[in-house]
Amino acid sequence: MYRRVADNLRSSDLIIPPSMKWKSISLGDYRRIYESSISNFIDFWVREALKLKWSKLWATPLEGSPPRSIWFKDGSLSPYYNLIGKHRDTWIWSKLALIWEGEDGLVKALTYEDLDNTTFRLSGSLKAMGVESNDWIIFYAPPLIEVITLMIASIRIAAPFEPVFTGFSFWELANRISNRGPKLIVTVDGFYRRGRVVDTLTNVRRALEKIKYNCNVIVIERIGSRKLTVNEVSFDDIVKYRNRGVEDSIVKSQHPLFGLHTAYEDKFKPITHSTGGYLTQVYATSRWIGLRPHDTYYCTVWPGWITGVSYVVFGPLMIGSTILLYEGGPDWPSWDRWWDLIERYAVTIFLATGGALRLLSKQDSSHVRDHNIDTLKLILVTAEPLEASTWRWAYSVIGTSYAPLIDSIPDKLTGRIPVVNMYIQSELGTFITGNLVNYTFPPLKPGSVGPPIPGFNIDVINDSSISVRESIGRLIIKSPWPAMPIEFPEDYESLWSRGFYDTGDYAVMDSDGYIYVLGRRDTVMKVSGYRLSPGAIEEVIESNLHKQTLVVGLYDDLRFESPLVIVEGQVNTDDVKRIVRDYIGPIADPKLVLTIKRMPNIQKHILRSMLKEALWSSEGSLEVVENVLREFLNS
Amino acid sequence: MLTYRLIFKGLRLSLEEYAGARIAYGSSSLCIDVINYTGCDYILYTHHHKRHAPQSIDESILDKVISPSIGLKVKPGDSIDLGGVINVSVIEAYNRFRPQALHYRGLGVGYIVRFGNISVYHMGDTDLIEEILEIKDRIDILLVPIGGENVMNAEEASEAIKSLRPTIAIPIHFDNLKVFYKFRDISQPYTQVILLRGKYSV
Repeated sequence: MYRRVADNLRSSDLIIPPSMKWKSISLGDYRRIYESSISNFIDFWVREALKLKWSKLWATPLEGSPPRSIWFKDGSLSPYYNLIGKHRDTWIWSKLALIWEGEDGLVKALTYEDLDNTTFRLSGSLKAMGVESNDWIIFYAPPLIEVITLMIASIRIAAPFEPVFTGFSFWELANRISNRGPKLIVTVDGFYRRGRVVDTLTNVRRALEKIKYNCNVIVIERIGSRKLTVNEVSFDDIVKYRNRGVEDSIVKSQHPLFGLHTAYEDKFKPITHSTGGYLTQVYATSRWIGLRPHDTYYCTVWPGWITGVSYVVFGPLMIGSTILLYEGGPDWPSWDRWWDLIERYAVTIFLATGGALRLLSKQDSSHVRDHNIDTLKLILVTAEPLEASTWRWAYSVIGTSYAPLIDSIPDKLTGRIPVVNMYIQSELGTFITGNLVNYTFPPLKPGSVGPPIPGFNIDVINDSSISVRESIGRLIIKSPWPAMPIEFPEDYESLWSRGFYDTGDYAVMDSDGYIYVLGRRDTVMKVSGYRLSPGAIEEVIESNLHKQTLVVGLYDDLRFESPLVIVEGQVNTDDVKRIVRDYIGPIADPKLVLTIKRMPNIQKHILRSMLKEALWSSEGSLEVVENVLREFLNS
Repeated sequence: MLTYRLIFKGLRLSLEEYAGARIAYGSSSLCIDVINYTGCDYILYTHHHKRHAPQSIDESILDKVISPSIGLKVKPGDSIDLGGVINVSVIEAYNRFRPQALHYRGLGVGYIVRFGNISVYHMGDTDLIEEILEIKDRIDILLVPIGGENVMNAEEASEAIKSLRPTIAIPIHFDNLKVFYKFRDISQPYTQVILLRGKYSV
């Protein structure tokens, strides 16, 4: 199956989009810049760190051995200043920072100055609610303007935050609350998705009830029809408090900034990012990928996933761009809603997952072509392998404007602007590969995630730890990067056991250094671009049905992988699907539920690996999969 | 169908009819060039052409009306306080260089309405005239006609944007989306263009 994925990805074409005709560089030039960056990566990242404003510089830039390396230790800085405060007294201050559109057409907008005023007041409100530096705040809400302002207010008082994707249900939310022990939770009374209200508040209440946890909850009243209970306070009320704001916190570089739970084989586990190292890396990569202050930027990935945190909450605001936030999905009222947004708000940079583009490419292309989206200058893609055919669809259908540019031919859909697929992981903090519109832009290779970004020492190796080119191997990172997690589980530590960081992904690196990511080597699943833990799904089924369960990712043409659930004994498969949806969330919807008489008596992580290997080395329909499975289990 | 309405700095703004805007601020609502004026506390008309003002108006509401020709009659340069929190400055609006100008000087006006510290400028039916280029006020929201013929075309409107540098520019007074695209593509670097209508508009 990895070979099939590789075949789908590979393309012999080198593409220089017309818009990059005089900005692209040769592979040789790229190579020289890249080699120079990794030959002295510490100096390279120090130069980038000095583009932030520090109250006190560090003594040594990198201390300790990975995974416990600390970047810029004991240097101190104001994260708020480096995010928002630095724009004061510039032209950026009076321009829009955030625009939000609800599914129903409600629009809200905020300038950088408004953002400063609002977060100043909110920081006072958070303090008045007892939140101090180092206290965690959990967000369980879509990216409303109020949510982003509260995240920035928490940054202002140095309270780390964790955004939890609303596609996760109460059970997973409860686990995250339990792990972080937050002083405060921020949620919304509901939001619209395909015209229906998603009830987030009930999930928060169920999660708190499940673990008998008690803390204040700020409820943003998007729907406005819910009665709040004890410990719940409405966002409108805390804005009205008119508490005195507080001075922006200055923290040490290693102070926790935010965290996420990321999927490992047995469950989702927390990792935490630092302030100085992370901000250095996200500021640098945000500039390099192409963001500028004049840009209006729309990222379809919500905070709750690393792309949504780094490239919605942090990077674009550090640059001074205008960020468009949208409440709903691409298909309501019809499949052109995203193109409608890009058209109406003059969006210049669009970022989506490969899974979303794959889905959009299956729709009638008139949904795109009925809109004039000529303002777009760049399409960024994240989260998963993007096969060459979907890349070509994005390049020609989304990326060809009505007005020709240089030598583009609109009627022939020849393409005009870059479609850049990039590689990211929660542990890495930012994109680490890809063609960089504002830095190193060698020709594009459809299907690849581009070459490594300067500063990241990336390789593909075989099981003997020898670099391999043009064949499948492990994607690894050989040197520490500034946004390395400062708190992490043992699983992450064990990925460093051979002296380099093993990303857990299989990949091919071609002879030019371009990388083609093929999917997880372990049994963690990549579903529609989102990393899901098979162990977490097994746990909720077993605790509800009291049946032995095994979950493995099945290759899926649309979602890349989707969960296959195997349950011992007789069960109603609809019950299994309902449990997964209710306890994990709709993003983990199983593709197939199978029952077997008896689960083999083998340790689960071994069984999962064996089964994945058997499934991924075969190809074909679900019937073929079932046969493979039965043969495997009977053997 | 969707109802597009913008909330910005405490204002709630929605477009109505051809070139109209309904703006709510605190407990007050102010309408500019809205023909169906139900619910408006203050009713401003830039001129009396039928796409901008009703051709007959109930005399009982004339005390709410501000315009160059009926209700409280205003002329460029006037400044009016409304209810203590709203201030209206009356601005020139006319066609230049047109032999038989539909909007001759003296027919119509534009309004800069300040709600506390927030300003909304409805330009009325105008070309890009010297008086507009002389405006030094900070403009938060610009309601800008872009349709050409008897108002600014996309290029002229874009020049107005470069001069006024509004935070948000909302195009009005046009039929053809191609005009919007041209205006958007040349104006966006100098403001944030927001099209507050679309294929899903009510």
